[in-house]
Amino acid sequence: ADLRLKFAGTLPVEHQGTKTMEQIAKTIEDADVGLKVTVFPANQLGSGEELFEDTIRGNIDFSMGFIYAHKDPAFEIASMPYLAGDWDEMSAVLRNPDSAYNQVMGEHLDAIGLHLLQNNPEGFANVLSTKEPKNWDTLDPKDMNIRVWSSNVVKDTMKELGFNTTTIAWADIFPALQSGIVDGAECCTKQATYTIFAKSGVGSYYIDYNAFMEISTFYASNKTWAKLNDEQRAVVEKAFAEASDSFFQWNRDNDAAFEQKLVESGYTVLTPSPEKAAAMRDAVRAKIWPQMADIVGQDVLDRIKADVE
Amino acid sequence: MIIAGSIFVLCALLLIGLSVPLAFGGVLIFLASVTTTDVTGFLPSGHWKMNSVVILAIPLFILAGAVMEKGRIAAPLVALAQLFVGHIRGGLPAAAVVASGVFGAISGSANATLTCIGGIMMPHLRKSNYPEGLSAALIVNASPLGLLIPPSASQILYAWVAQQSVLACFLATVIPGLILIVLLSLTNQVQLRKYRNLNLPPAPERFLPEFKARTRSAMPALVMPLIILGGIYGGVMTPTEAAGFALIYAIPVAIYVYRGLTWRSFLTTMREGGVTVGVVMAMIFMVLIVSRFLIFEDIPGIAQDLVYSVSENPVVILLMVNLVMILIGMLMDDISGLLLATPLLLPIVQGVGMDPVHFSAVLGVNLGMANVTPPTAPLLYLGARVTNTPVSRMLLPTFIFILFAWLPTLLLTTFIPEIALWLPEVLLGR
Amino acid sequence: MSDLSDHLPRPLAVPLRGLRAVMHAIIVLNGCLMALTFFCVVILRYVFHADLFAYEEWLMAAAFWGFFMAAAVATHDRAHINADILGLLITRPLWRWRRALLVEALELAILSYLSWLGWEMVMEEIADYPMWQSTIALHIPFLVPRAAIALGFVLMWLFSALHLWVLLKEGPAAPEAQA
Ligand code: NA
Ligand code: NA
Repeated sequence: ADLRLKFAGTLPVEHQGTKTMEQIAKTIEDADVGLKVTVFPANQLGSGEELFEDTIRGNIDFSMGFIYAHKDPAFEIASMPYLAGDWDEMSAVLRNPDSAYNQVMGEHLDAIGLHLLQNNPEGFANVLSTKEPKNWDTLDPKDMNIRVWSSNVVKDTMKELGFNTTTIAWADIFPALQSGIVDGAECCTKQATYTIFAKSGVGSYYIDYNAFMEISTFYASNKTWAKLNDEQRAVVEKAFAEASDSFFQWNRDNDAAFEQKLVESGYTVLTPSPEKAAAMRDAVRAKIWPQMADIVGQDVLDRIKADVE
Repeated sequence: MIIAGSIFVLCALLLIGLSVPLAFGGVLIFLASVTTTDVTGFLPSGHWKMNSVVILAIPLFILAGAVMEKGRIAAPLVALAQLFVGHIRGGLPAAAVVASGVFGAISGSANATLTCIGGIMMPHLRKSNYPEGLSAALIVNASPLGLLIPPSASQILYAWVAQQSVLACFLATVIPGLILIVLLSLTNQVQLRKYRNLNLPPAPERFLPEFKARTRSAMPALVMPLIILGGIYGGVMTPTEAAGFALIYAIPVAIYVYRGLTWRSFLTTMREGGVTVGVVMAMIFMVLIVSRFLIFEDIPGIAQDLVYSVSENPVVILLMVNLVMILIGMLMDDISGLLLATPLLLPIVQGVGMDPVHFSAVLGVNLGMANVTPPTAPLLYLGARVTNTPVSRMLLPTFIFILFAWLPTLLLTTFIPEIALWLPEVLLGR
Repeated sequence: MSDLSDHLPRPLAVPLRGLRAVMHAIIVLNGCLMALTFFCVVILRYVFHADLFAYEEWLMAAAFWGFFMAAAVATHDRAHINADILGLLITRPLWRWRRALLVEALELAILSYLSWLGWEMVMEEIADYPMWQSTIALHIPFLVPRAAIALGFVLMWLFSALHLWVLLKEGPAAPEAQA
């Protein structure tokens, strides 16, 4: 009988990421190697953290989600600020299977029972706000309180960039912004800002610091991986790689389109000049990267730094 | 097969009389024996599901309700409502309904509304010779107003599960709540027509001084909605923080203003309220696990196919969805019903074009009703204790209230989207 | 609700009272902690423009202890919500007692299973040491809240077993048979 596999994700049904999952499921089934894949999008099987734990357990076979650092602090490399500054660098760091980032990720995922398939940079996760921050393109104080998630790295980076920070859970961002508890949030790609906030009339500025990336990862359970034969593995690897390539291309192509949509819905998109962006990047790297050795380990940090520089 | 089995196990265990969380535990054992799931994932998934500060609004509203009850915060509100209509026929019961609504703007839970309003109103109603079963049933049926008038623990929970704006969901149930207030009062008035020997309290001789005095004494309680709702909509705090604030505010008001509590009895109240919190959170924990592993078996997909195989007419589909919710509501209380119904039914109603915020209102009315529909009717049983009236005497009037107040409210809310969506649109511009 | 320890022999009753006192303290402290934390978060934000960074990590860990100790006390107090329809229909004491026995036995069986799951969960967390799961900012081990969940089920099992025992010992006159 065919092996039935569960493929879980966290993105909404109409999101391109979910369409990519469905495309992968179809490619694998069409290859006719004895695999059937059911897609569960939109947090149906739980949040990213739950998918992570239940994929290790083998209750879920493939997942698409963020890699959380609960099991291994080394995964905080996903929140390393200014790892890549533009789409080309993003491609070099995350889409190249031989990059230090992917090697480190692959090794550490394997150690906890997961098989890395592909990393998908979906764009930069930037600051959106309801008013214009003061000194928005320098490191000077912004006189603005923004939401961050519970990560020391993210908090310290945003403070270095001149913001006051408040920890707010993802579920509370929308009401917090809507009612004005915070003036902004470090959270979202242009696409997410448009679909979640702009369409509902919340927020009016989007600032391209490009410090953090929105990365979703395709990974498989090692238990599932052990059950597959070589032919099936080849089909699966290929399906994920091809879909990830086209997903990346789609994200890259649509970044400008969503910027346009943001502007049409009344947003102002602020992009610092290359010199000012480089100044902010260098200052943050000099301050925050050395601190990260304590979290992710000096060896991991050195490998990634060597690769990026 | 797996669905049918799960439903059978759940219903059988509930009807035998197992507590709700353990009946769901029984479903877990069933799922473990018929599926290939690695069962060591059951409890960790419950931990993940509950590991959110947003969900802390629920225990905080329960605790705030307990402090308000013991602190007699509701008494001056009731006195104020009585001033207007207490002396006319059916006025006192109507005042109980209105007071439940006003108290709903302070409290986030139906239980708190029931214990606070019921405990004060019932002796007054008895003294005026209003029929016991009918009056107790009315108080019980009015208590879900605590959930329909914001703030509301169950709307916070819905917004969290369905990933919707809490602010919008709060507003969506306001008009259904007002409709319910009117229909409950009218239905009660009609049921009262055969009672002749009511002993109505006299109208206050001098209205204005009395009004001033009662308003002054109700002030500390009336300020609460301003702090809570003003705080939430004015951008000072999140709904969860507001729940914490409500508790912190209620403590000095209960101890120093209304003097219903001492610091010593405050600790007892926190302990008793804390046990109620344990009851609710254990239920949430188990229901979340079961609903997650039912989704693993693609239950929402099967439910969707089932509904569409009967009809593709949106009106019929919405009626069926309501019927399912009523059945869920008979078997469960509001919280577990909400957690089970949302992932199951939201995709279906969205399929026929219903806004998730509109659905929050439909669900809100259904869940309010769920709490008073036997066999699992926590408010009915709690109401029996609060009003000191046997459940059996409340059953017939409750049935009449469901038929002529709850069901019309439900149908109006379901089929006229503006009832739910008008306020969020006006106030939040969504 | 009546105190279970009133129906038990002294060697059981004394430790049981002590255990409940500890559980009650955890419940009350948790309630106060939740309220005070949110109060401070708001005050800090508006008055001091400061942030209680990652407070949810320790608050949630504490909350799980409060919730699950409370859930266990609720089993002791027989406060969990159930459908009381049979309670309305059955009036004969003997049959009420038999139904109570059945309910208690089934609940005990289900709690045995849940306690075992709790044990497995805790062992799994410990087995991962030193690479065990912990929160991202403050590195609070997941063992802390998960142990509360497991202990909660074990205590529910214990109280349920004691109720069953009292029910068997005292027959249809037991207070458990009347609820
Ligand atoms: Na309310
Ligand atoms: Na019910």
